[in-house]
Amino acid sequence: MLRKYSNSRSHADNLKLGTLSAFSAGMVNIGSLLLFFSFSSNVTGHYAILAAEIVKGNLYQIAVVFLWIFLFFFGSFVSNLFVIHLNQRNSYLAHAIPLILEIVCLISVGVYGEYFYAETLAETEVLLALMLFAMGLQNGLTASISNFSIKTTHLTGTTTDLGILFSMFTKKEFRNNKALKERAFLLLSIVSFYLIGALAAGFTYSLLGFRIFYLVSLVLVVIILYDLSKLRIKLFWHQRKIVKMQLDKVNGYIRIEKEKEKSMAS
Amino acid sequence: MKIWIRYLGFFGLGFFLFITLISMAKSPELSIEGEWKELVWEYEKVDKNDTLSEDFMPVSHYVKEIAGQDLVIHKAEKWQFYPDGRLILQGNDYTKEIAWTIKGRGNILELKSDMGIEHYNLTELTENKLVLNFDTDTHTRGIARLTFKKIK
Repeated sequence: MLRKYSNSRSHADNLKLGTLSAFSAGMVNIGSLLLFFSFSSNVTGHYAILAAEIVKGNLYQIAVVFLWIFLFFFGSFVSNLFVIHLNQRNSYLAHAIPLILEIVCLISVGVYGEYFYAETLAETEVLLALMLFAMGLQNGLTASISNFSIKTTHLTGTTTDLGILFSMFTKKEFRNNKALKERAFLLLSIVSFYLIGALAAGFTYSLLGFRIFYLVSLVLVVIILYDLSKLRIKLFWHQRKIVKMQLDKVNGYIRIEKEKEKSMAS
Repeated sequence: MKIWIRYLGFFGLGFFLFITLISMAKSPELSIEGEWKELVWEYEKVDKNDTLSEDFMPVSHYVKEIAGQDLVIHKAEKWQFYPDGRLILQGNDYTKEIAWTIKGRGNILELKSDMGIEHYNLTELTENKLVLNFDTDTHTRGIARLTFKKIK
C-alpha cells in the first residue's frame, strides 16, 4: 500500500490505499462539521467562503479561512517533501512519515477536544487548522505516491473523472479496456468509502464525540502496519531462504567430504 | 538567491499576511459581548421589511410567534452576552440564563439551555447591528431572520 511509488504501484495497492484513506477523510470531514460547524477537507468550499468574506469585508473570517487553506497547502507540501527527499533511502519510511504526522494531528485534536476544549472560538479555529493540515498531509501523500491517481479528501475531481469514464463506456472499445474499468472501480470505491466514513462519523458522533478521531487514527495505523507486516513477512521469508541456501551449501559440502572419505577408504 | 530562502520568504509572507489580518480584526466573540435589543423578526425571502416601520411590527410579532415558538429565545426581547459564556435573555416578566459559544469560522452562534442546543447563523455582526438567521421547521416560508440593535 505504502511502499511502492508512482507507476510501480498496482491497482490493488491503489485500491487499498484509496479506500482506507477515503474512509478516514470522510470521517474527519463530517466529524469536523458536526463538532465545529466547518468542513476540514473540501478546500474548494473554503475558497468560495474566502471570496464571500472578502466581499463582506470580514477581516477575522478572511484571516481564519486564509490560514485554513494555507495549512492544507502546507500539509500537502510537507507530505511530498518527505516523499521526494526520503524515497531513495527508505520508501516505506518516506511514505509512512506523513501518515504518522497526520495521526499525531488527529490524536491531538481528539485528546484536546475530549479533555481541554472550552468551546472558545480560538480553540475551534486552531483545532480546525490542525485538521486541515492533517487532510493536506493525507491528500498530498496519496496523490504523490499514486502518480496523482488517488485523491481522497475531496470528491470533485473523482466525480468528474467518474462522469468522464462512464461516458467513455458508451463505446465498446473503452468498455473492454481493463485499465479504464479498473480506474472506474477504484474511483467508485473511493467515493463509496468516503461516504461510508462520513456516515460512520454521523452515526457515531453522538456516542463518541471527539473520540471519532481515535477511530480515524486507528484506520491510518492499519495502513501503516499493513505494509510493515508485509515487510516483516518478506524479510522473514528472505532470511529463511538464505538460511536454507546456506544449509544446502553446508549439506552439499558435507556430502562431498563424505564421498571423498568413502572413495579414499575404498 | 538560494531556493530555501525563496521558500522561507513565501511561507513567511503567508504567515505575515495572516498575522496582519488577524491583528486588524476583532474576534466575533468580543464583538457580540454587550446588550442587544431585538428589532424585527422576518422571513428571509418574504415579508421583507426595509424600513423597520411601525406598520411592520404586527408581521414581526407574528413571525416570532410562528418561527420561534419552540426556541429558547421565544420570549426574549433583550439579549445580554457576557464574556464568561453566559447569555441573559430578558422579556416581559421573563428572564432566562443560558450559555453561548461561537463556532465555525465565527459564523455560528450556539445556545445551550435546558431546552437543548440551538444553532443560529451569525449573518452580520457589526458594532451596532446583529443579524441572526435560522432554519425553521416551517420550510414553506424558509429561513427566518432576526435583527438586533446594540444598546450597551
